Amino acid sequence: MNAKIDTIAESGLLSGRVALVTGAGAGIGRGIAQALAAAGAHVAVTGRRLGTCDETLALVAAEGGSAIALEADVSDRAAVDRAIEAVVKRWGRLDIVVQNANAGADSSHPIALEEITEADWMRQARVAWDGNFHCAQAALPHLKASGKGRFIVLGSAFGLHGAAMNPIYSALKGGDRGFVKSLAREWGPHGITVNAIEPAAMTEAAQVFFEQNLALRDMFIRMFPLGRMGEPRNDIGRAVVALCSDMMGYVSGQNLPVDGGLYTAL
Amino acid sequence: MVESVIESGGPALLAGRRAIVASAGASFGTALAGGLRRHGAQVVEVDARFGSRAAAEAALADAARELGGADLVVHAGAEPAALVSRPLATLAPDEWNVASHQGMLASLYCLQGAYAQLRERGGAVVTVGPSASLVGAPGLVPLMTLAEGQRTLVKSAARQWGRHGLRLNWVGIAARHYAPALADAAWPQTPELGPPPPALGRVPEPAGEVADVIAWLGSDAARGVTGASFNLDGGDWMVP
Repeated sequence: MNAKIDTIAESGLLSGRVALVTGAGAGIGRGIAQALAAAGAHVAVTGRRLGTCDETLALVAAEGGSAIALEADVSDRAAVDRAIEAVVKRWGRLDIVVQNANAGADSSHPIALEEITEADWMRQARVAWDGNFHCAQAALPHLKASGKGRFIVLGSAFGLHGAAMNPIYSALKGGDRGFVKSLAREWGPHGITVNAIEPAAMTEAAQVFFEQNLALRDMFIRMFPLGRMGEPRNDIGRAVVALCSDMMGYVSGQNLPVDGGLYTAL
Repeated sequence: MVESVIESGGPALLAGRRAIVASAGASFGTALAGGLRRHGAQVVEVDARFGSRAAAEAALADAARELGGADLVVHAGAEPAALVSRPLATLAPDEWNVASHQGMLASLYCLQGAYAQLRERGGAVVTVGPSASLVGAPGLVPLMTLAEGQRTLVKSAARQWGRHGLRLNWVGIAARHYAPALADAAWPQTPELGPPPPALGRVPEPAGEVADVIAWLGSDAARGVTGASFNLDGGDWMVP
């Protein structure tokens, strides 16, 4: 993103921690990877395409952060296992997992509920729900060993209010809430916190969409009390850093909208 | 047994209405069906473990034919795989797959089948889940994921189909009523140091107070209500 980067806010908060971010080749995942690295964490940037992960790596490097790029499709358990093995081999530990991957543009296409097929559902669910399942199972031994384990799922305001636009994406993100609340209760005895963040951010994809729909953009932006959509690195990424830091170590099982005040019904 | 609305001389909320109860747990479905009949409805029960959209549409169409139409569809159900309490770490991929995706697809198909029956004249759909889905439960990650997914799908459907006169709402009931297999799961306790919850001193029963609320949701008295979640736990969690 083109925002001026200021690393003072998060500097050193996560020194020595090791994080894995899924879907980090673009958008919010990329911003989260940047912010975690700026906070001192070693970051594994994972995605389905290594090329985009390498671009994220370059952005992290430009800020002086430490990261590696790994190709991993979270719908593939073996790929998730390989990525986590690679992380532990490189840095000897894994403290933070941010499950941000979703099925690309499918999630933002309008679809009528009466027309949804099994294939439509599974295309998104394999990434969102299976991604949660695979990452959680594969990471558990390492998060237990960490002593400060963090598992964060990226939800969506669509999952809180149940959007009309895409019932599949809404239901999946709503289901994330049940996943996080339950896993937080299950993993609490291991000292691991489990939370969800519901972000609103002007990603590259959102920018492209809104450039073609300027009237829609103006109407949408007016819904935000803070008068703007978030920046992936400085607004969403930093919220993830905060949640991973010792400052928020007593917060678990929560759904935290990071959206400029958009969703306040909780 | 709690005295019902109709037994106390009130109007029959569902007089002349036709209800389909699609349930994956026979005991809950039968108890609820009895409760809805008490409110004046004609009721047909169907098994909600739909393996395909065609199966759901055929089952609901058959039930509607038997009833001469449909005004209310109630859906409750999860695959048996979702009703076993165990740590997520021990879950096999196939168990996760059946509990989460298959359960969700059955719900989707049921809503699509209900839409086919109700889109011309409007009507009500009530999806029933375990009330604990609002707070989560250790050992039941797949069920809680499914239940919150179902609850959110109901909201999306309510937003899309409101223009057709369809109203869709979610009702949470005690886990042991939702599925007897869940009676022994490790349910989280309300953080309450005063009198023990629930506030009413009882948890609503499917044939009684649960059926009363679902009958109300199916009646004209609730014509302004859609996309809402009702937690019928007798006043336990009182979630935001």
